Amino acid sequence: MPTTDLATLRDAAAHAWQLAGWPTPRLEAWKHTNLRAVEATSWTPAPAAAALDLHTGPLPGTVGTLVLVDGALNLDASTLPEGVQVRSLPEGAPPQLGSIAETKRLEDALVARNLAKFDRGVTLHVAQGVVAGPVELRFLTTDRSTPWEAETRVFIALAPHAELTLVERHLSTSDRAYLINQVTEVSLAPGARLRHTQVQRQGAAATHLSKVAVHQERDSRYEAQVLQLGAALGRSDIEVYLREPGASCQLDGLYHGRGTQHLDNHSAIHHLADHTQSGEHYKGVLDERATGVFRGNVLIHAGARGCSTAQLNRNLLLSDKATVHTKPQLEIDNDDVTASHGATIGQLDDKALFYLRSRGIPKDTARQLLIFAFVAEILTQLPLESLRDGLHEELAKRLAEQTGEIGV
Amino acid sequence: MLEIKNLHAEVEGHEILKGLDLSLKGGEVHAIMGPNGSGKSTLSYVLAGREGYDVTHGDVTFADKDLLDMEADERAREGVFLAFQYPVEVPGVSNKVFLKHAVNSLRKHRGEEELDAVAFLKLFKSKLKMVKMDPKLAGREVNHGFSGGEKKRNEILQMALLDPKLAILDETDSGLDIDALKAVSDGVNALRSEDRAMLVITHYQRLLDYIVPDKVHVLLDGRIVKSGGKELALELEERGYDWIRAEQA
Repeated sequence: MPTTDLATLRDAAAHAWQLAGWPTPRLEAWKHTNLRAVEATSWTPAPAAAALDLHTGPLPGTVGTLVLVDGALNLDASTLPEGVQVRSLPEGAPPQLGSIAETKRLEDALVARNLAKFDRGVTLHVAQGVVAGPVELRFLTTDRSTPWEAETRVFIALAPHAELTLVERHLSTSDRAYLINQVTEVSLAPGARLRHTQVQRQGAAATHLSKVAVHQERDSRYEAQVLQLGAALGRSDIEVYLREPGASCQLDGLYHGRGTQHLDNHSAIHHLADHTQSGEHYKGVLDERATGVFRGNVLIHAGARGCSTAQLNRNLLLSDKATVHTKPQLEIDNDDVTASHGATIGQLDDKALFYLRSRGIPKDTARQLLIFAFVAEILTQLPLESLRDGLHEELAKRLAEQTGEIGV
Repeated sequence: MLEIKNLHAEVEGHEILKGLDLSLKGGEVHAIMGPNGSGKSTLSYVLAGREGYDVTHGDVTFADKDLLDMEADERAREGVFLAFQYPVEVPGVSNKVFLKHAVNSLRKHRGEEELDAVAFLKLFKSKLKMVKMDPKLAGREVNHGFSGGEKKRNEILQMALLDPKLAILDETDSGLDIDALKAVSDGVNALRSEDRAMLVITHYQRLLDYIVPDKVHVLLDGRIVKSGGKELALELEERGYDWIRAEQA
């Protein structure tokens, strides 16, 4: 029976968490992201959240908005979309929950913690052949004076040939400390397609830890665009399992760090079957004393023939004290593969800067135009036009915050 | 309009301009010819204010102002325009956005009202027609995916939009076939005016058949060593530069 299985899984997870504890930089997967301060904080578990200001109306172009406050689904504030079965967690837990995201390794300790402790979240299910969305998952937070935390789960299941466009936004105006530990599991049946935009705009003192684990069956497709803009410490960790032939995924990311922000982007794409394809393109802009991390692993397992993968991470450092650690990594266990990977760390192109200035454009404006040009590429990947326009404006504003204004 | 006196400039510690003198009046078109390494591009970059090109001696007066005292974008707003030999590609920046910024920076500097999107588009379309440029290129990213000829035409489009007092054309003909050369030259000629001086820097005489200069100067080893009328260009084409070197010895 499902509940019993889940209970067993949760017990095992509690045990794993107890043994492992908070990950330390001694673990390769946490080498550049130190959780010491997070571990040392006394976090109060968030209570059942009260009603909150919806934070403006629906995103134009969406057919439903699911509002989660402090990670808990608030049906009163939500507009249910057609074609998607929505249930609150943990009551609505489907049988597969807990079986997709890894919990056994030391580095997965936080996933284990989440499985053991989660008391809130949402599941989305799209039936066979149904095309649904765009749907917004809007995560809002309560402003509290004592540091609080929430363990949230999201489970997304698409039946054969189902399609869903999902926009997940984490919006917070709170300047105080809180911790969100979210695990999202995705199950894509044969021929299913999920377009998953994730915008992280948490508060300035927030810690946002997000793990997304995706099981993909034959000919399914997962397209993710991950934008990390907020939080004091943000970590996006995506693991994809291309389990059957024809499965493919594309991960695009943008992280823009300022002040002392630390934005970590991890991914592991497992090619487990023949003729699977993956692509990854992450861009980082780090300013002031911010740090960025990119760790992209692509694993072509033995016996997975005729696969192709292309991986690229490009970083722009705008100040002397900004740092980025980048490590794209390919592990190839068989010869029949087409693969490319690369990483760059650079500054603004001097020639382009001079060209713009030689046309009378002031230095600061020219810099901002070039930085915007660098980040804007990911906007073309976003399926929702209103989001694209909104982010276009937001990014322009963020970049102009140093000096002057740019109109793009 | 432009007065260059005893200009010495170096790049990465090497002196390239070794005492260059030149004087231009409004309405005039002067050509500068010289062999490779004589300092043609260095002169362009020094006048435009590119970093890395250090002036060690000399003065440059532009419209009664000290040009060397200004930064690159200031010079452009004062009315200096450089048509690049190798126009820079700026992927991710739309040609229209770039040009609107340039036009409005200029207008702001002149105390004129900045153009909104609609007004700019109108101005833009009229200039596109003038330089006979494909409207499709307007919406693309700056010089990205443009052919050599299209890049040079984009330079002339910018010149038309920015209405400079001094236009420096740095080997505008390099990499162009006859048709492109003619189109670019037509654009340049249409922009001749009493209020504008042009410096046409070229390696080959051929361009000067289309953009006929008032004066021709020979740049050799970092200095202007000889000046004459347009016939001088033809003589250089026939005889090369050695006879001038001999004259100087």
